[in-house]
Amino acid sequence: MSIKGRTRMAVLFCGLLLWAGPVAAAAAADAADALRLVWAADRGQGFDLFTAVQEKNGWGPSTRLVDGPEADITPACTVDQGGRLWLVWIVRDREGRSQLRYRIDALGRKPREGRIVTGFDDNYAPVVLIDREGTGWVAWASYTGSSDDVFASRFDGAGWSAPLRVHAANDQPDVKPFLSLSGDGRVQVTWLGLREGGYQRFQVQWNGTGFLGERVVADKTWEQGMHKHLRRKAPPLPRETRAQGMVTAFLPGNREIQAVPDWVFPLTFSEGR
Amino acid sequence: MTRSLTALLFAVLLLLGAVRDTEAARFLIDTVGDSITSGYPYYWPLEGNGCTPPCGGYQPKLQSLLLAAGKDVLVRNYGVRGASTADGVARIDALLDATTPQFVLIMEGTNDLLFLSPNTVYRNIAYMVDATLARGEVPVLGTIPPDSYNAVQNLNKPIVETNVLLRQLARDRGIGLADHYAALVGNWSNLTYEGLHPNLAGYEVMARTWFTPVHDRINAMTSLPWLMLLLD
Repeated sequence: MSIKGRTRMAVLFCGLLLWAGPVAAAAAADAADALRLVWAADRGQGFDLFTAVQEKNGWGPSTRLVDGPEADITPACTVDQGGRLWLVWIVRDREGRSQLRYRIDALGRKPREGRIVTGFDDNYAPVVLIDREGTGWVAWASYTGSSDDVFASRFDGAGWSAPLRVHAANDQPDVKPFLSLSGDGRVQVTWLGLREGGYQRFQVQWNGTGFLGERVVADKTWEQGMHKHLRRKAPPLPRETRAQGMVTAFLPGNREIQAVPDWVFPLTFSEGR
Repeated sequence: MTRSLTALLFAVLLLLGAVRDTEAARFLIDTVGDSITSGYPYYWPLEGNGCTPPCGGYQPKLQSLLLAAGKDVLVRNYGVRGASTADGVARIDALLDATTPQFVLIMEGTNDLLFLSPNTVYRNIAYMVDATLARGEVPVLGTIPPDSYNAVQNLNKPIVETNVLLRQLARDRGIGLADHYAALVGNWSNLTYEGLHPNLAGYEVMARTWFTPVHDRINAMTSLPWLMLLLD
């Protein structure tokens, strides 16, 4: 190869490094204090999933995370101690069935991804969380044939455990689950259940063998808690995320409430930085 | 003697009817739902506040159709952009406490079907219908319009499934149904603003679709007391 040719190759190589830079920086930044968004949007090829990380003067460039022929919607994410992005979302096919899928980034290697088998065709609004032991948890709602119920599963390193209904069986809708950790590190599932008198917010905790202690959480208490965690300055959400209402914000450095989807709680950060 | 009494009774009934007609006060019709009810993109800045025509998408036309049919009505707009049926469940009682309408037109669900099953949307709307009936007010139900904007999310099937449940709900509760989906779907590309909301022509079709069940219910409400008196 001539000197000219070698120079060209070197320039191309450096260009590739520069191009790849922001993606690696984004993953590293998550462990510090930068907010990360994941959202679903249609940029002319059907609904795909995108992500962007907060930078000094706004949101960094968005990266396409998932690009499939079906509709990829309602994404939620968290980042584990190793800086790996965990993503869960729904894939809705042309027959209207909605599968629950996951992807765990492997920091440069091929991500681990696949379907989480729920046993049902209609699955909705998943959320994901990493507990203090580093175990990944996912919760979602499935239509069981009589009503929507809330289920959870955990990742044991090899795969996802069989889905566990987090509440007693009933024929009323239980929807829009949310995962968090209690002050003493227990995994909590909070969701909305339609009962006489309207929707109520319920919560259970994992005790090592099952979800127990179902209790009603007062709306005011819940909202105050969420506002407290979301009280941080961030640029206005990208316009694309506002159109569909399918965006989740990952809150770095916050192990109790790790990520908030806007279908669970409105994402209203303080404007500006 | 019996004939005289009957004549007297008939005269009294006529008089009561006349009194009722002069009292036939304005029927208050509250329209409850999401941005389609609020009238996006033509009129929605004052969303959810009960504004009256010309505020709204279908409301001005519905009001003029009913007025032209001799029904003294005031159609109020309680559509809220982005509202879900769960929001509807949360606000229906407080809203009706504050507004005390005679009729409540309920139509929403478009914003839910990414997050909830058709069955839950149906349950939420059934809750709103039952809350309205429990107060002695008259609900009229609307099916969810087509949605080609979100076609890439494959939402059409859940909309169709939800509408099947809503039609059944109207039959089960014996309430009026405005089948907007059926009225719009055949010509949706010409009746929609951007695939999700109706355009002006679409809102006019919706007004006409609401008109028949609302008009029928007003007639039933005004004629029923007479019928009851005669049967007594």
